[in-house]
Amino acid sequence: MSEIVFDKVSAGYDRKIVFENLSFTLEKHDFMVIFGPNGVGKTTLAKTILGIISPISGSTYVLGCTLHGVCPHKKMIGYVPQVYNLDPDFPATLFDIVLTGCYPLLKPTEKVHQIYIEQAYRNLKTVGLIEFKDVPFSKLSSGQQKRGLLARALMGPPKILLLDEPTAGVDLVSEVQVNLAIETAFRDFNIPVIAITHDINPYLSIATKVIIMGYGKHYAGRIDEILREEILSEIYRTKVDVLEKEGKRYINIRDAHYG
Amino acid sequence: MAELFGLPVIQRAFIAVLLAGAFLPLAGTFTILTETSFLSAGLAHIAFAGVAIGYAFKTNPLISALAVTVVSAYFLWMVSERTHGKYEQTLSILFSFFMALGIIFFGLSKSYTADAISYLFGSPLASTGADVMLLFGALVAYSIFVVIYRRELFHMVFSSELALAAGINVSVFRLLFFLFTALSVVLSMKAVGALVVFGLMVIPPSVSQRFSKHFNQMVLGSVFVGIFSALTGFIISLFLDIPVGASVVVVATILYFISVTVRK
Repeated sequence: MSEIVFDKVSAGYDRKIVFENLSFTLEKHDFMVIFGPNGVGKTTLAKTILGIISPISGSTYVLGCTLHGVCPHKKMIGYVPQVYNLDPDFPATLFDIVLTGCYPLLKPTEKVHQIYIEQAYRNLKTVGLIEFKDVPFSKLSSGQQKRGLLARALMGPPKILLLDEPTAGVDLVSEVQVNLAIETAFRDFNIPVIAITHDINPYLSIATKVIIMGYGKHYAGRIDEILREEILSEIYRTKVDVLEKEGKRYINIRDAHYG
Repeated sequence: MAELFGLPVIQRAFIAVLLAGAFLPLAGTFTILTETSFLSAGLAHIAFAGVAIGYAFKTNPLISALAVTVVSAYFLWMVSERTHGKYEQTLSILFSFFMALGIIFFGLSKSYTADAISYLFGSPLASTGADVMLLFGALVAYSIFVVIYRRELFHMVFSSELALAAGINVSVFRLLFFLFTALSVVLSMKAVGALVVFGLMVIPPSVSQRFSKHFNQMVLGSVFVGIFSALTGFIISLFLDIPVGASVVVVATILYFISVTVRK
């Protein structure tokens, strides 16, 4: 049984459709990358998977939930958001934030079990931040905050990991560290990952499936079927090359014009 | 001083000021962390207009203030839900509108102006046993709510998007937050005054935030600073014969300036 099945799904806000007729499946071993230009509905798709917004039409199935009404599956998706505005004096350490990942699994009067505390330590080691556990979260660099949120998302552990622009706003070194942490999590936790990104290149070595979203068009499927120059050029409305070097593929947008 | 504290009227006033000193910072902590401090300022002015309306229609001013403020808080929550949190423009309009109404109704009920003014500057000596019990009951209810749902509240103030993704009903929690803020403003108004309610909501949490590494520390610290300011301010006001609310806020402000000079 697939972890996610979307069949001809359309979604949007206030009756305005952002994407339509999207069909794809996510299996247990999949690393799926969703990418495309700005404003095509990548985050809307993430919110639909999370059950934050309901699909306008089509049938959806996420971890046994149809996304209509009460969705217990929300507690089983580890989510890293794209942006968050944080007060520079926000009173929480990195460890406090990581621990919030287990809060949805607890009843209001239930104490945080030792098992979750140990899990938080392990996750911080996985993302390489154990020595920062007592540092105020707001004092960490944006790359460290992203890795901290990844450690938080891995609490439970979840059955699906959903990352919305995990490297947005971080420097190059931090980007490599964040991507390394994502790869480690994918391999160590043995859970499917969905990564929404502008840049697919860092994930080409581990991605198994891809959804390319464009303005009014999208392609979904296995990476070797979809990642083709004619599709990418059509979506980006400019010439896109798929290059291969030492057995690794890269995408290069050769010539981008305005208008 | 000891003799003064033997008087029931002083005891009631003292308890009312201490309860307001605990309740307002507790509610204010969440307005500080969600950057919605203007909500408390706006609701305080709306509540004052509610008092004026009560006097003009010869009804219990506390009930009219509660009705006007709670309905306004509910309306602001509805606007907030429909505009993704952008309700400040509506709050500004309500703020001005209700202040205008307050001034009009004060003008219409000249004989009650002195009583109504006591709500503006605070008059803890006028607090009745029922006022104190109401304030106590609301504080206990809010404290229980905060203790039980501390994790959901922490999740929400950290990131409402993450809270939503984790299955927390952010909308309902936000409504409760708006309503409790309204309740804390109205019930504390008589003890400390509408003009300084805002100060007690904002200053103690701001002091506490400077020294807190964890969310729970900030919540408890805010209440502690609020109670300390209320206690000290009350005693100073008795000595110097100055309005209690103003005295409490001056103490809290001094604590704030001390806190900014001390490294975290």
